[in-house]
Amino acid sequence: MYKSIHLIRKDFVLIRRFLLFLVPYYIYMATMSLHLYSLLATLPPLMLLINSCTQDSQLRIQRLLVSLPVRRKELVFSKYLALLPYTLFGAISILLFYLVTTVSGHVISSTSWQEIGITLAIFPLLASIYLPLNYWLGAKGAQVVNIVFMLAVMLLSESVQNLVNLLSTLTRVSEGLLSNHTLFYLFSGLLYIGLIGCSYFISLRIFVQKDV
Amino acid sequence: MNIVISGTSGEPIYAQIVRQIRQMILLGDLSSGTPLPSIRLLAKDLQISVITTKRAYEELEREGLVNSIVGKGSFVSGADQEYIREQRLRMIENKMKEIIEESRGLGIEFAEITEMMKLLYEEENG
Amino acid sequence: MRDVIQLSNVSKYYDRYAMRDLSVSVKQGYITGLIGPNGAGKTTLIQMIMGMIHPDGGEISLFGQRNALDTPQVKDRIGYVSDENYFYESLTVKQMKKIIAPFYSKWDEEVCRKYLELFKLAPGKKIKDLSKGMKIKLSLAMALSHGADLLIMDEPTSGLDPVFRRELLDLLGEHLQDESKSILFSTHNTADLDKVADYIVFINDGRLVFHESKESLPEKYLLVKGEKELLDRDTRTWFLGIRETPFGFEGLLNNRAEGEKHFGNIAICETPSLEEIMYFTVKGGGVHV
Repeated sequence: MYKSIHLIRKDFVLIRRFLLFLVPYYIYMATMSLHLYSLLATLPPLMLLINSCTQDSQLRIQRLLVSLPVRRKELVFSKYLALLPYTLFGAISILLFYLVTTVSGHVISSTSWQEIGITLAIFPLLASIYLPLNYWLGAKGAQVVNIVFMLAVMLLSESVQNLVNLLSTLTRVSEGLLSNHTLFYLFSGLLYIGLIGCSYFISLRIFVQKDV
Repeated sequence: MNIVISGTSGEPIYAQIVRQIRQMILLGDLSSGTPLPSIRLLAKDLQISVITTKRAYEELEREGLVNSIVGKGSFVSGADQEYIREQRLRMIENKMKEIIEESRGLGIEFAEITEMMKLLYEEENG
Repeated sequence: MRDVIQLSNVSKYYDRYAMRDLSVSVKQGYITGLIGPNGAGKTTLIQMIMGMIHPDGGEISLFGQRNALDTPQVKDRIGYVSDENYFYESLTVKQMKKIIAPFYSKWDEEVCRKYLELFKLAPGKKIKDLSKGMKIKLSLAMALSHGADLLIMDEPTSGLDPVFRRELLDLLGEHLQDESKSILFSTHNTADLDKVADYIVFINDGRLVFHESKESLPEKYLLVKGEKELLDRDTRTWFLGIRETPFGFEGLLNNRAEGEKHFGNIAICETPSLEEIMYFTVKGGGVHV
């Protein structure tokens, strides 16, 4: 486990410079006072993930990582574990943005915490689709995937927003339908973790067998 | 202690080491009980393989010039100089016998051999 | 004598290239040189030992453990050096070191600092600004700083200047002062190994040509140089490889005693260098220049 922490630390050293690029992005977002949460909570973490995966997916770097005293399983695990800090990064972005807009007077009309929660949950799901593809396609193939994912989030942010709205409505509706709220949350939580778990096992299968 | 290795002389490297250490022992430059450098250290310093040095030391041991003690290293043996000289002389005698036999085969007279030997000896001495 | 690396009947198939039934070992306490022309499979072999690529058949043991290629305890004892730049280009030497160090249980910061200084690697320098030779030195410094029992080096001398190549031999000798340590060293430049290697593994076209102690090679191989008239249909078949020119021939034999008996008085008989052994073996017989 402590090796995974070191691997995540490595990812953050590598994306450090990239974090600086995000500053102008946030300023732009603030001036436009766009309140599309997905552009705050989904796109930046996704870009961080893509950046760290792109640096690691070069064949020679994969050889470096495999030459270290770390199991391949741990290399994959660390990428999934890193989703936590990335998601947290998204959450902090929203929080900061919220504070800034509140202080500067651009108050966002309606802030639904449920909406924010669902937006934050979208990133790990996207990552669960992204990571197996990245392990499967390798450095060259993943370039296409990277572009597709980023474009999708950017272009579809409006529709993502709609999706989020839909989901939150759906949640409310189903909350009404299902008499037992705890059961509902438990069920959706398990489904969510199950999906990420599935993705992890697929990535593992691909990478453990792979020749680098 | 000096050991100089030539890569172009045609003489195997292990033999060059044996010859030079033997000479130092026989001439008394290395007295009995003197420790020899460890096999691995000599290999490193001469930039040659460990096996080559090992072979040289084994050869010296066989000749009774060196004793190896496991865990301690190799030392110039306590065998007395007379005995060692005796051994070496016997080896030279054997080689001379070979020369005589070869010469007989080619029909070379004894006088001719000594003449050849004399010329070679003077040449070697410059 | 223990084997630190053991490959038994290892095979790997690619579209245009295959490694078949390769069985070799690396002995503890010695330098084993892996030689062969480009494309012989040296890198494939090393990458299989490092667990980077998986063999299609056969078995690889490291430190006596079978199927342990993905085991951290095993990798912890291996120092890997490659001529391929396998570091993150955007990082500095110091950042790279800080990424690698925590993974090794016996990482020695003091030793690492010593090597970085010896190799004149400035900690603040970006890896992308290092020359190829400097990158190999960085790789070497990393490999030597965690008390590795086994150094596995893939073409470490390519890209190094002759001065440093000599210094490298000293470093290897230093490493081997402890007789529990071992080195596997691949190169197509046999001059490096002519000096220090204890054992030679020669592979060509994915197959093992020989695995011998270097000391025994001069007793086995003979290089014959002479007039072309000495070659007839019969004698030609004795040679592993022949190079013919309008002025004569050179050929390699692997039965020194027989060769000297036959050619001793009628041709020049020499002890071949590793390079000559490799050249004639790869070349084969009957090719005219």
